Amino acid sequence: MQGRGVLLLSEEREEGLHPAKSAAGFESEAAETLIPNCPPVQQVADEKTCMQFSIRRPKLPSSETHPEESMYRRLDVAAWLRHLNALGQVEEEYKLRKAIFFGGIDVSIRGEVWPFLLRYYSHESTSEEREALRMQKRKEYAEIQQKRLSMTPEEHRAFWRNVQFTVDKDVVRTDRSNQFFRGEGNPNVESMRRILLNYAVYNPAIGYSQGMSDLVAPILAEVLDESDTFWCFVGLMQNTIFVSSPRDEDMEKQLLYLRELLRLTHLRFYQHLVSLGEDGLQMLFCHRWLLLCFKREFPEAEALRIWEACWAHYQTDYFHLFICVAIVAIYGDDVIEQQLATDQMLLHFGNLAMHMNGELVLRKARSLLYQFRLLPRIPCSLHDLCKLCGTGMWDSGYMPAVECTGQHPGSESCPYGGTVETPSPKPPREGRKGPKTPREGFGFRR
Amino acid sequence: MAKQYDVLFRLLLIGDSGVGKTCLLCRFTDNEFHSSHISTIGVDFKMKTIEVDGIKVRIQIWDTAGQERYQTITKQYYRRAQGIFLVYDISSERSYQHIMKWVSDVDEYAPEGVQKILIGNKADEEQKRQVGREQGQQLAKEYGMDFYETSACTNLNIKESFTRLTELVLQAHRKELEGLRTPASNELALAEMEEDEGKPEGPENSSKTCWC
Repeated sequence: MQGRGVLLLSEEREEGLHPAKSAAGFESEAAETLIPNCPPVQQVADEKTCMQFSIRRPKLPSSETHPEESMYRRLDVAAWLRHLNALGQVEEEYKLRKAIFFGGIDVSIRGEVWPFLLRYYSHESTSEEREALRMQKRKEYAEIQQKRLSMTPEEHRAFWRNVQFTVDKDVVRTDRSNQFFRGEGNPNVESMRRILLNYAVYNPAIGYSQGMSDLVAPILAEVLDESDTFWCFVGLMQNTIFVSSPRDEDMEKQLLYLRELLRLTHLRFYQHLVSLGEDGLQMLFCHRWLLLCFKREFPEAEALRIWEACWAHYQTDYFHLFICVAIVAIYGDDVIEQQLATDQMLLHFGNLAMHMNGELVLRKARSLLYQFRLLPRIPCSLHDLCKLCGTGMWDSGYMPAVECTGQHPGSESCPYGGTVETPSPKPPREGRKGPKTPREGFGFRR
Repeated sequence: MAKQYDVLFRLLLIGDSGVGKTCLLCRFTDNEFHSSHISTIGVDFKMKTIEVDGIKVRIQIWDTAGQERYQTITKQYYRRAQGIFLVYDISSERSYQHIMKWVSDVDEYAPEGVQKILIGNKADEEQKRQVGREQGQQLAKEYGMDFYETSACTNLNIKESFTRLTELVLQAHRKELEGLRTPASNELALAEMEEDEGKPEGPENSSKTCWC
């Protein structure tokens, strides 16, 4: 595929259509857009209904960026050392996280800083304490491994069936183009394999789900030590809300928040999803974004920048959802203009993978978070989005009013104390869907 | 510009992780083979137009993750499929045993009348074979399915199996497709479709009028 900004469907490529110039569209037949409620067999009516597939050169005007955007540079060794006191403790954790949120971490010190972000090391720990912790954790890791290696034949058969079979398939196809994992018989692949197997022993309730190898590989490649990587991964699985292959309720919760955020920030896109019905609202196109935290949507350097920004937990535990909204805001106009159906949305965003501008998406997402914090009222459906495992999103004392959107099955009143702005004659009924037409007043200031 | 296709089908690839679903798909649509694919997370699809019995059929092939825990989504794929490939790996007894589980998923989630075909992939790996050809045939017979041993690597039976499933889907919907090649009835079909457009969206409605 040539150059950023050009999208070619495989078939068009085969058929020899000219590769469009950057930012130029080209015609692509996709007559299925015509048929909203696809009949048993779709008979194609008319080839005039062509669809434009294009990526515009996206830009973000400075008025739409976070006001603190340009105040932070990448966290390099010197800056990192300034965050540490003589004992090696992080002086002001919040400031460090904020700096990482805006500027990212220099590649050379990722291996050192990530264990803090992933809460393997506490910020208050001294260098000496961390060394002691590492020794202790190394011992613990060895014990977990020992446990795995001393299973009874019966236990081992079950473990092989449920975990090892899939892990073995996956580790040999994870990040193999990365220098660190390249080549036959690479010992780092074996390390990755042991980490995942040991994790399944350590946390049998989660075991192994596909996608975990994608999450652990970059950590291993930066942290290098097997035991340290294991504990960082444990922290990642504990502290991030997106975990690979989540259970239905985890995914539902993510999608619910995302839909609500879209309703607030990008009403036209939200309405398009609504017009597609249940299938549209499932947002198939963003499942992989959530499951792998954008790893397959951006080149690795940019993806890891996004990971760091999410791991910084600056003002929200759900920054990844702001990234989703940013992608939609920057690259979703075609979806609305051409009224793309569910399948075509998946194709549209699938084709954008590895062709999007990660830095731009990050800037947009930071700006969206900033704007979100300025809202005078938030719907109660997003109340928990503002809760944070660490310092709160509204920790500066200001908390916006909560407005009840009336979706509380099994409860009479809004558990978040939300008030209904316009008193309605009927109380919200159980299981009722939220209002189809969002009220004015939630829109972002332009 | 000539009309590019007459009908659109959705086919679905399911089976344990690592049996080669993505490889089958890439071989069929792009005639490419990479031995080390990344695992499929979420869902992907590719499209190809083939001609069967004088009808240009656009097939949309959905490639799923071998390990999908998110049932809401799994159901969505199944519900929309008209044909399903059940894939195992001839060098993995386990993947063959699991076909039973995959069939029960199909029975549970897929629409009635969905066409199925059994695929034993990696037929080139004869030295690692754990599942005999006759075992595959036997299982296919039990479930009333056609059976192919394929190799995405050597391009064995790829086109044949995809074409066969497409034929089966076409046959299953022969009635709706009758007269597709006569212009007059084509217009009729169009009129019906426009009528369809006015109908409200909804799962109840679509289950009656739509099996895709």
